[in-house]
Amino acid sequence: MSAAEVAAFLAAHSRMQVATLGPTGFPHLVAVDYAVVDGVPAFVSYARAQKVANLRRDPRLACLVEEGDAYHELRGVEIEASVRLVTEFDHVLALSRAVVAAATGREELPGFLAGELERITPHRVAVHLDVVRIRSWDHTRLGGAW
Amino acid sequence: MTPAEVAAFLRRHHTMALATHGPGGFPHVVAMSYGFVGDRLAFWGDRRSQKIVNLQRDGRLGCLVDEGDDHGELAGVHLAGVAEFVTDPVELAAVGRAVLAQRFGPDAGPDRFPAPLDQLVARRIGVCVRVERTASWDHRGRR
Repeated sequence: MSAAEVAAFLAAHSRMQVATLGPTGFPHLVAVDYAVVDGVPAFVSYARAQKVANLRRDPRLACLVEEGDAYHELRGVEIEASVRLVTEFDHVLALSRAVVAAATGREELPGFLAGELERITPHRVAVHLDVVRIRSWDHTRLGGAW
Repeated sequence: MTPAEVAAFLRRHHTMALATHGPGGFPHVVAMSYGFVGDRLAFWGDRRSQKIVNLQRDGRLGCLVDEGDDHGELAGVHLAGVAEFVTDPVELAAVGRAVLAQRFGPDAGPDRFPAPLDQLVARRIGVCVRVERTASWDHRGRR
């Protein structure tokens, strides 16, 4: 995919798999919801989550956004990045809102989240990616050939 | 989840996210179809693929199978494990059949393979996962 196609693909999705480096040397995987900030996925996590503990120790991660079921339909983007963690309240809250908006496709928050995001924001961190490398694939271009 | 629930959950799905250690020190993550050889999770891949090259350098891997979109519905299993390679052609074909059966059902014919099985066996390698640690979660019914 071209850079513009990668950007459009990332904007069209809101969930990705994130791999970090665990404390005992095994990779650690979680699914997170993200929002695109300046063209790059960003997400919010509880500060005490395993993935954040991992990223404080080693800021390198990989994330995967993929769609498609059958092999010839698969399209995806993998990003290698180092992360910047931001804890400032207004920043974390704004990103939290953006992540919800990306997942729901609506700017206004669902009712049950109205006061909830503010309440949990002090316990959360924003995770931003400094991209090192992007890989992408689009099997729909193979024309059915393997 | 109990061990039995973990096993049933993994049997209900056929695709996982697989994380390995990349050459530059970054993790590498891909989506992988898997199957079961006996009760062990297994997959196969091209011998020159990045994930296989990574595992031959460092066999430690992470597997994630999850489902659900809303937080109240999330359920998943994470395995931390070590790759054990399958190179014997007969055993490797069995891995391929197991992956095919998990994906398309036990009656799936060899026409479901992307190429003739002997060609795939010639260029692929199998990986059985020796599980070191299992984590699971199931938020359904807890909201």
